[in-house]
Amino acid sequence: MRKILFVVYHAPCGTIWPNEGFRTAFGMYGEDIEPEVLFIEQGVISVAKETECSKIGLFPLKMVQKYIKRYGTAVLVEKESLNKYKVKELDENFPTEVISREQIKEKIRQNDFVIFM
Amino acid sequence: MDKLKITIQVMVPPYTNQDLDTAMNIAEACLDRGHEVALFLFSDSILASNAKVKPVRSDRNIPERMRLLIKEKNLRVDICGICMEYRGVKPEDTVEGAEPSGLPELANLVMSSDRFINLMA
Repeated sequence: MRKILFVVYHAPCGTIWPNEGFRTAFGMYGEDIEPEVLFIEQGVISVAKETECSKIGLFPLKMVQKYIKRYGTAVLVEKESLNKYKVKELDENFPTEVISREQIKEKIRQNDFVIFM
Repeated sequence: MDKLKITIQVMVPPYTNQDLDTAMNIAEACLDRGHEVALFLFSDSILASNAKVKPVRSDRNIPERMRLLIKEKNLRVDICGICMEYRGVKPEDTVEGAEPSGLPELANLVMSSDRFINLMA
């Protein structure tokens, strides 16, 4: 089995990358690959409770939640970025694990490949 | 050194960012050393496979360089099919030898490659 880490650093409203990060991660299940999706920098706004891109007519991100549940995809969020962007409350429908920047280094070592988006 | 299988994934447009140039420079260097290289075009980077692109004469012709790398050095080029449809690029528009592809093929490349390089501006 291979492990792949998708690191999303772009904002959810204004870029396609949080959605593409999940879409690509789900595509990995066709092989013996375990994907994880990590949000850093503006990407952490993706999992904020109040974020809803569809309110301004953009492609909704929350539609990925049912697939996260179905596949059991791990969703990680960097603590320092949450503080930086003042994200106080996370959307409970994203089963997130908050990790520190120090822990991210270990995550990168644990994965075979890392894809930034 | 043993022959490696190397995949390079590009995400951004060819004449806005220069990731496609970097990708093809890396690909050519690896091919010249006998490695097997696949280029996976994702999102706006698929525009680089459009054979109808016509840059000014003094600029580099990215699709033409891609075509030559495919033809002369056996570069494999996969183009995300959904990304093509989103951008109105038809298979007949693309450079000879580049193939419409998708996430199953990307997953297979992730599974089978010795090295995976992701270029994101």
